[in-house]
Order: sequence, then C-alpha cells, then structure tokens
Amino acid sequence: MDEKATMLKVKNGQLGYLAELFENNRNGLFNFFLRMGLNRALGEDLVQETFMRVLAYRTSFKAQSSFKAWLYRIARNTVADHFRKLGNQDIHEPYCEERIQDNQSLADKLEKESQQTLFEKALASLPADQREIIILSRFQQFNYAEIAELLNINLNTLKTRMRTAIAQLKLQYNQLNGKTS
Amino acid sequence: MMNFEEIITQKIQYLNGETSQDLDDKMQAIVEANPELQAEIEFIETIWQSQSLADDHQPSPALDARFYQMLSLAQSSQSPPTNDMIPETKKHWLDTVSRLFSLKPLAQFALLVLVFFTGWNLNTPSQPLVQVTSQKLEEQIATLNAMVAMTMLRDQSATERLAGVTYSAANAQNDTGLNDLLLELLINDNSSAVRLAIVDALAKRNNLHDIQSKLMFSIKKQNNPLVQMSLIRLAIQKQILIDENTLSALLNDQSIDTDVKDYIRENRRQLTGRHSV
Amino acid sequence: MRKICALLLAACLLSPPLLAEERKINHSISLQEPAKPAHIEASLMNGSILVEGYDGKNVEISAVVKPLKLITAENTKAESSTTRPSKGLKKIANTAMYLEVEKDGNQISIDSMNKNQNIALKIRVPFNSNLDLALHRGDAIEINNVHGSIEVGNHDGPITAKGIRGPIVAECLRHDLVVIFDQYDTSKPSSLNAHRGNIDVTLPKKSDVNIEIKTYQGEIYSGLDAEFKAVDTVDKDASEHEQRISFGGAMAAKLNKGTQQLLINTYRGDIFLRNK
Repeated sequence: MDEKATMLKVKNGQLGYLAELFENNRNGLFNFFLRMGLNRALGEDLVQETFMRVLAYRTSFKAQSSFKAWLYRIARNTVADHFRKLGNQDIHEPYCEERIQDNQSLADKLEKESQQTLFEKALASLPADQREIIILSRFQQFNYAEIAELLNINLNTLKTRMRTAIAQLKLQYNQLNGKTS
Repeated sequence: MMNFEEIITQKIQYLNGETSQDLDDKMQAIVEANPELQAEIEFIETIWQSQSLADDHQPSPALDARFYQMLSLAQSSQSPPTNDMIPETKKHWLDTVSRLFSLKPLAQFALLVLVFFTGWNLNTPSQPLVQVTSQKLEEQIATLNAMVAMTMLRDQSATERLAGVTYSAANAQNDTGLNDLLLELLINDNSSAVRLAIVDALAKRNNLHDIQSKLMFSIKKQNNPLVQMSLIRLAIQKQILIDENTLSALLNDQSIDTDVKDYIRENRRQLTGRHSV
Repeated sequence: MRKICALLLAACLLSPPLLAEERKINHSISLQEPAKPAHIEASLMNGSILVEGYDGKNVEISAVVKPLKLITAENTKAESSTTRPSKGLKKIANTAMYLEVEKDGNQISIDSMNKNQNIALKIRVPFNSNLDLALHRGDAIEINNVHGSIEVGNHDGPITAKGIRGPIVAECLRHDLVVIFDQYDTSKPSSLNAHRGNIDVTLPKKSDVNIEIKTYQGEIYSGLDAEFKAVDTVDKDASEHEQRISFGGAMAAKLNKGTQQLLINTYRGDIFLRNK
C-alpha cells in the first residue's frame, strides 16, 4: 500500500481512507508504545490519541514526507506529552512527594505489570532515548536515515548513539542473564 | 583505521535489509581481531535475528471500536457539501451551518443536526422511529462532547486543559472514559489549577462513591496544599468517610503542610463520621 | 522539516586570580514564522524572570549569572569527603554557568536547573507571544505587556503580571500574585492560586467575566461594579429530600455577561479586586 498517497487522500477530505492507515499501523504503534514502557491500556489510549492527532493535523501532512516518519513523529510527541504530565511534580520541597525515579524504578514497575523476557527487561531498563533508537531500528523497521530525520540528529550522531545504546543493552542483558542462571 | 561504529552500522543495515552487503573481508578481519567488537556483533545478530523477540502483542478489539467510532463521528461532522452540490431549497440552512461549523464546537453542530432531523421527522407516522433516531443522535452528541473534552484535556497547554475541564463539566459529566481521564489528571497533571478545577467538576456530580477510594488515594499524591484541602472538603461535602488509620497517616506525614493538617483536625469528626474522637 | 537549533552556553573560568563573579549573556533569536505567535518556555532553579512585550519580531534574551555561595560542608554531596587535604591548593570560585536555549520553529525553551547559580533572566518578546514560566527557588517573576496566553508558577517568590490579556494560569505559594489586565480574553478560563500569598487583580470595566473565589481564611475586598453571592452546592440524599450545603468560602460575581470564568483560590491570603 502506498501510505503517502493514502494519507494525501485523507488530507483532501476522504477520511474513510484513514481506516487503511490505521489497520496497517495499529499493531506497530501499539507495540512501539509497549516497548517504550507503557502498559496495554495506556498503549491503546495513545494509539487512539495518535490517530486523533493524525486526523486533526491531516492538513499539515506534506507530500515530500514519508507517512510513517510523520506518523511516528506524532506518536513520539504523544508519548512525550504523556510522560511530561507525569514528570513535573517532584521539584519542590517540602511539598514534594516521592521523587520521580530514574529508569530503574520504571523497570521495577514494568516487572510487576507484565511478563517479560530477559530482553524486554533489559530494554526497559535503558534510558528512554536509547530504548527508542533500538525500538525504531529493530522493531519499527526504520532505516538509519529515517531515524536520523525523525530524531532531528545527523547520521554520525545516530551511529554513535546506536552503538552506545546497544552496548548498554548488552550490559543490562548480561547482568540479568547472570542473575537468573 | 576503520571506525567500529561503521562496522556496527553496516551489520545492522544488513540485518534490517537496508543493504544486501554483509561485513566485507576487511571488516570481518577487524571484528575477529577485537574480541569486544566481536561480542557486540554477536549480540546484535542474536537480538536482530531472534524471531521470538519480534512477536508483537495484539491490542484488544476495544481499540478498533474506539477508532472506528471516532472516524465515523469525524466523517459525519465533516463540512457540509458545497452549494453547487445541493438542491436550491436547502441552501439557506446549510449556509447557516457552515458559518457555525468549526473544529471546537463539533458538539454545537451535532446539536443542530439533532434539531434538524428531529424536526424533519415530526410529521412522520412512525413515532418510535423518531424516538430511536433522537436517542441515537443524543448518544452521538454525548460522545462528540466527550471526544472534544478529551482532546482538550490531553493538550500540552495548561490553559487548554483547564478549558477542557470546564467543558467536560458543562457537557459530558457522565462519560466513563472522560471521568477516568479526569481522575488520572487529578493525580498526574502538573498544573494545580487544572487539578483544582477537576475537584470542582467532581463536586458537581451527585454520587462519587464509585470513585471515592481513588479520590482519597489522590490526597496523598498531591503536592499542593490547596488541592489537598479541596479534596478533603469534597469528602466532607459528599459524606465520604475516611478511616482513622488513613487520617492518622496523613497527620503524621512530614510532607503534608501544617495548614492541611490543621484543616483535617478541625474536620475530623465529619471525615470519620465519629461523634467522639 | 522541523529545525531545532540548540545552543549550549557554558563558560568555565579557571585561571587565577579569582575572577569577576558576574557573567552576562545577550542573545537574539528570530522566529521561523514571525507572523505567528512565539511560544516561550523558561524554567530556572534560582534567580528571577522578567518578560516584556515589545513591538518587534525577535526574541531577545539577556541573562546575568552569579554563582551562589560556595558549597558549605553541610551541603556537600554524600560521596565527597571533607577530610581530603587542601593545603597548598587555591580555592577556585566556581563560575561555570549552564544555561540552555533551544529553538524549534516558533518555540523557544530556556532552561537552567543548576542549583549553584542565580540567573537574572530578561526576555523581550513580541506582544502576542505565549509564555510558560517556572521559577523554583528564586525571587520574582514579572511580566509586562504580553498579550498571549500565560502559564506561570513561582514556588518561592511573587508574581506580577501587568498589561496582559490572558488567559492566565498562575500560582504562587507564599508570596503575592498581582495581575493587571488591560483587556480580558474570553477564549479560555483563567485561574489564579496562592496558598498564603495575597491575590490582587485589576480588571477593565468592560471585562466579560464570571469571577469565582474560594478562600479558607482570607478576606475579599472588591471595588468592582458587581455583587458577590455565595455559591451553594445542593446535594440530594437517597430519599430525594434536598440538602443544601454551603461552604461559605465560594463567592461568585458576574461582570457584564460573565462569558468566561476567572477562578481565584487562596488559603490564607486576601483577595483584592480592582477596577481599571
């Protein structure tokens, strides 16, 4: 399916074609959100939210863009908005409650919520930006150029970050593997 | 000396199918000469080639239902046909509608549709059909209102979210999904103005017993004494009783402002429902 | 394609003798779409923020940075040891500065969460800009003649906003919140909250606003041409007999048609409402 052409039809008012784009991308987006650290219910909420925004912002889709990159740009903003709303209540004293924990406690929380393989635990323990790069490359089938454009970084920076992310993933994975064996 | 990152990039691009070229002999030699790099390459191959890791989770059918409902509403709320596509007699009404239509007041447009179709059918002999049509349209309007409110409540701007709370209180008090979102924002929203407005909106509901445990849980989660006191006041207003242990925990909590604690003490009897403390 | 230009401004002074404790920065940013409003976010740990609207198209930033007092023994990090020998070493004033300015289209973010410096930040913005300001442990936030939407929070100092139109969502904790509207924007509700500080609001006579006030222990003083009435909440019990419960702290008044809400909340602070 030519997603760009389909999205241009949606942009021109033929909203029914959005269903094709939804069917094609629903699972990928849902799993993207799960791998970024959300539970199932929130993952579904954000898929719905993402497509609501696709509909609301359809006139801003440009013919030069790839639909997938544009969709994931919206998806990244959606999940960032979600975490942003969670993250800002801990700065003040003495009114502050528990400080927002680093990724380790997020990993603890994920451990309680779902059955995870060793890899998913290791992935979940990474900082969000490292996790995202691996998810986009390994699972969302973005190539290097697309990821660089999506994250607004140059290609060399991406290559460095990818290596760092994989090294960190390997470290976490081996530590967890050592614990369970 | 070839950069290790180039080698890793080449391997990933090959595994992703971006290139048909795996590591060439020169790269392979470098890998074999560097045990750490070799371990990285092997790890990448394991992760990228493992089929079980690529197994996707499936969302529930509810997600599809929500999407298609949204799409259906969006399609029915689209701008009316242009003048040259419609018969002469209806031009005046559609002119009015197109002046009223804009993204935010979708509910106002839908209400107009409801009025039009209800009036249109008044002379038909089939009264049950009118009732069914009206009821369905009312349900659609309620869903539209909830949709508009949810969009506002998920905005980055606190002023927009505040407007969303006001909108939801006025137009969509009974929507379950919307109420769940309001409760989530009551705990997580970073604007105390939005959280205060949510407490006010909840105060307008008749019965809060289905969510009272969440409300009481949210008292401790607040970082703003005004919001905490408004929740306590809400508990008094709605006769939501709080057990002594919970109250004692709040009074002993170092992070809770002394004004809030004084307020709890002053209203302890109403909060616990006990006539003697 | 979105364009992000991130500027990291950092200066580290290491050479003896002890250097000047103040650093000044000036920077001008042009908007990607000057015809559309700018959106400025500024978040500081210590210092003050002054934002002024002007008839221009750029966002002009100036900052004066001073280090806070040298870290004392009481608040050194847990890992550092106070028993390390320092004989023969010269203590260096740490004037390293961290202030991040990021631009994305018409969105500009200014951020410094460094606890060891005090930044007096001044920003000149086009009149129709939108603001999102936060100061965590500092002095005052002052806003003059900005006509876009404003979100502002000052945890440990006062807020003054003059010549604004709103909507505004503002919060102070222990200090006063002073707002002077030159017009009242009815597109969205506004909310002003202060725990122990006073709230002082000036409204033009033509404002189309429904004011709702809740205060637990504060007094209300009004010079507006509007009558304040208590807002009662009515609940029906299971037997359908009406119960009227009035909290007494919720008062409301309508100016003109009362189209848009202005919500005001304090705990102990007094509330002053004035005519312009």
